[in-house]
This record gives sequence, C-alpha cells and structure tokens, in this order.
Amino acid sequence: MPFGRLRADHRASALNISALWIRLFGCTAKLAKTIHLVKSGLFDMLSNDIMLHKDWTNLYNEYRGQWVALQDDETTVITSGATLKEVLVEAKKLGYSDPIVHRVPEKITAFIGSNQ
Amino acid sequence: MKFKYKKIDPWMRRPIIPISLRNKDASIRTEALVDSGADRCWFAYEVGTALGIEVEKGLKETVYGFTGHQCDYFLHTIDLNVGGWEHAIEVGFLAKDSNAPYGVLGQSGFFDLYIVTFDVIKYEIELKERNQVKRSSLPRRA
Repeated sequence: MPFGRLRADHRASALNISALWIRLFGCTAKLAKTIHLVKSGLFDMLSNDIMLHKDWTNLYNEYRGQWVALQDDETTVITSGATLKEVLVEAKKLGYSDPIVHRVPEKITAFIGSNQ
Repeated sequence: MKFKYKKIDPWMRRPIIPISLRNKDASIRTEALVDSGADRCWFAYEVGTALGIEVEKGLKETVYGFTGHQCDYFLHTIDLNVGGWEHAIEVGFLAKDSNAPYGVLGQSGFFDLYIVTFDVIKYEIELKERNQVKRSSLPRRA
C-alpha cells in the first residue's frame, strides 16, 4: 500500500518535508522514493538553510583573511580587522568586552588538515 | 550539549563550535573546528598572545597536515571551556604567521574528554562529557 510505504519512508527520513510534499500532491510510492532521494540534495539544502545551521556565508564573502568579533549569536559582526588585537580593542570601544573572535580563512577550500 | 554546524558557502558546512579559552585571569571566546583526525588541539599564535602567554616559551614541536604541510607549534596548558564544561588541557599554539584559519579540537584535549556525535543530516554536533574516564589512564607521550 503506497501510503504505508510512505509512512515507512516518513519514519526513515530525518526531515518530514518530502513526506508532507507527497501527501499534499498524492504521488505514487515510486515517485515518493525518488523524491526521498532528491530530498537529500536540494530539498534538504533549502530546508536546512532556514532551520538547521548557523549561516556564515556572508561572513566568508565579506571578511576573508580578517579577524572578526561576533555577538553571542555567532553571526552578527561587531567589528573586523587585520589583527586579533585591534579587533578586541575596537569591540571593547563599542561596548563588547568579551566578543567571540574568529579569523575568516582567505580561501574556501576543502579542509584536509593543512592550514587553509 | 548540542551545537549547529556552520554553513560557510552554499555547498559546505563545517562542525565549528564556540569555545572559551582561559589562562589565569585572561580569557577569550573563539570558534574551533571539531576534527577527529587531529591528534591534539591547536590555536593561532594571536590567540595565545591575547591570553597573555609567551607562546615561544612553550615546548616546540612540529605538525604535518595531510598534504605534508609543516608548521611549528608550542605547547602550553590552558583551560578549555565548552558548553559550560571546563578542563585544563595541553594545546599547541601555532608559530607566528602560520595563518591558521581557526582553532582545531582534536583527539587529545577534546575527544578524550567528550563523547562526540556528528549528525550530518541535522547538521548538529552533540557533546557528552566523559566523567567516567580517568585521563591518567589515557596514553601519554613518553
């Protein structure tokens, strides 16, 4: 029974979005399986973008090679600079005596244990 | 304690978590990559100096990356606070101008203190403190 298989699929998935999609549009079990596979790609990307992680894409686009001071949400930039010392001084001037500091890599490459 | 992965571009997420480092009265909050392939914990030279540590006075050693890239580092003992749990651990501060992007939390000083679960579907890292393990029972360098 397609709906039973859908429910099994539903339990197996980490997110319920594809199952909801299938129920709404009355897909067949075969199509449901296909959608479940696709879900691990673009569909998950879209849902995860909203819900599941901290988004540093702007940070990595705008502050490459710099030190940044962040608010407690880990995403809002207080200030940035070439050295950690100047970032800490500037953040303190702005009222943040204990910011989260982070050096943004100059390049976004696969990380395999080298320095970048 | 659960932490979210960081999305650094549309196709890449990394298990980078917020931590706090303390040396005597100085402390600093930063971000570090949870890296099960790393033998120990490493941080940038600047982080050491911000903690008031004279980095080069530590025991000097050398680390090699997967690609063979070599970098000197200096060992020091500091307090690592993760999610409210604090432990004194031995870390390496990389040599000046090493250009390290962020700290690394590796086997010694992190994975020997916490049970770490990576969930790459939920983009979540879960830590549980290993309060049953005596650190003295872990293998140590001669």
